[in-house]
Amino acid sequence: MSIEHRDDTGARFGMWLFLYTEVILFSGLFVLFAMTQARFPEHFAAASAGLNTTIGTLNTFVLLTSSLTLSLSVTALQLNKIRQSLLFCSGTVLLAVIFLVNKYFEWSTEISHGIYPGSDHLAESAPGTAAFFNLYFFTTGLHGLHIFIGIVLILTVTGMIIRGKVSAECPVLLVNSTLYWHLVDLIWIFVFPLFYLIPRGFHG
Amino acid sequence: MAEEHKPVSYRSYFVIWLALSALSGLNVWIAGLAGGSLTAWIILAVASLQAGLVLSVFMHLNQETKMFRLGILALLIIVAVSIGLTFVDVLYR
Repeated sequence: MSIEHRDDTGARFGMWLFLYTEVILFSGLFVLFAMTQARFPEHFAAASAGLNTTIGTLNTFVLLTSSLTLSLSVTALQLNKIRQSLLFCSGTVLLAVIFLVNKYFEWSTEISHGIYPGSDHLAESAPGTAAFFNLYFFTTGLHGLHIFIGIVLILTVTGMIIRGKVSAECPVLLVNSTLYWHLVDLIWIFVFPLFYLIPRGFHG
Repeated sequence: MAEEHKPVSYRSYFVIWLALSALSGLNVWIAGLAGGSLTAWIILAVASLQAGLVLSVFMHLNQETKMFRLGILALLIIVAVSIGLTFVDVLYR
């Protein structure tokens, strides 16, 4: 048996360093949002009122629950309950897909109303309205891309758990995927109130 | 190698999930009550509380060494400074 060098703390810290850059990426968008919101409060209020808060709220719960199931899969793996761990990983992927399906319906409704970046409808709208929806599509799109990457990541790790490459003795890949997934959830915790809740309180 | 994390009980994760869901529900409710700056700050404070729960329990920050917490602190300072400077720039143009 070959001697294997492992540094799990180093691996986790490496993941955290990457997550810092993700926070900086999204905080740039949040700053841009705050600046534009301060400049066009009425336009933002009207535009935000057009978003589907029901789907937004539903997706928030879907994502929070997916964070729960992935955390449970880590505990299950640490306790060597492989079958439970796999079940929780699959549940997480299912919830992530539900999130994206909801997002698809939400986006397609907006697009069918002529609301998408570069549309004629937005070109004729007030500048604040166009800015709101451009930021909305960019931010939720970038977030959705992260969800998609997360699905691929979790599926990959699930396969490695099945093959025994990720196990109770060597869980760091699942732990790091969990860290990534929670950060994507954490970003949504701010995206949701910023776009769906706060602006509508600033009309008139 | 640093010591491994202890498994967090299913129960603890469930409690945190319940708290996170309740706080999201609270935010939706608050947003329906009133608008304006004060409401916005309250909603952001609730979201920050949620972020704290996710970071400390879901992301195991409460089990990590000091280095991890210092990293987060440095990140928050960098983000706060850049947001602050951007606001000053925009407000005093």
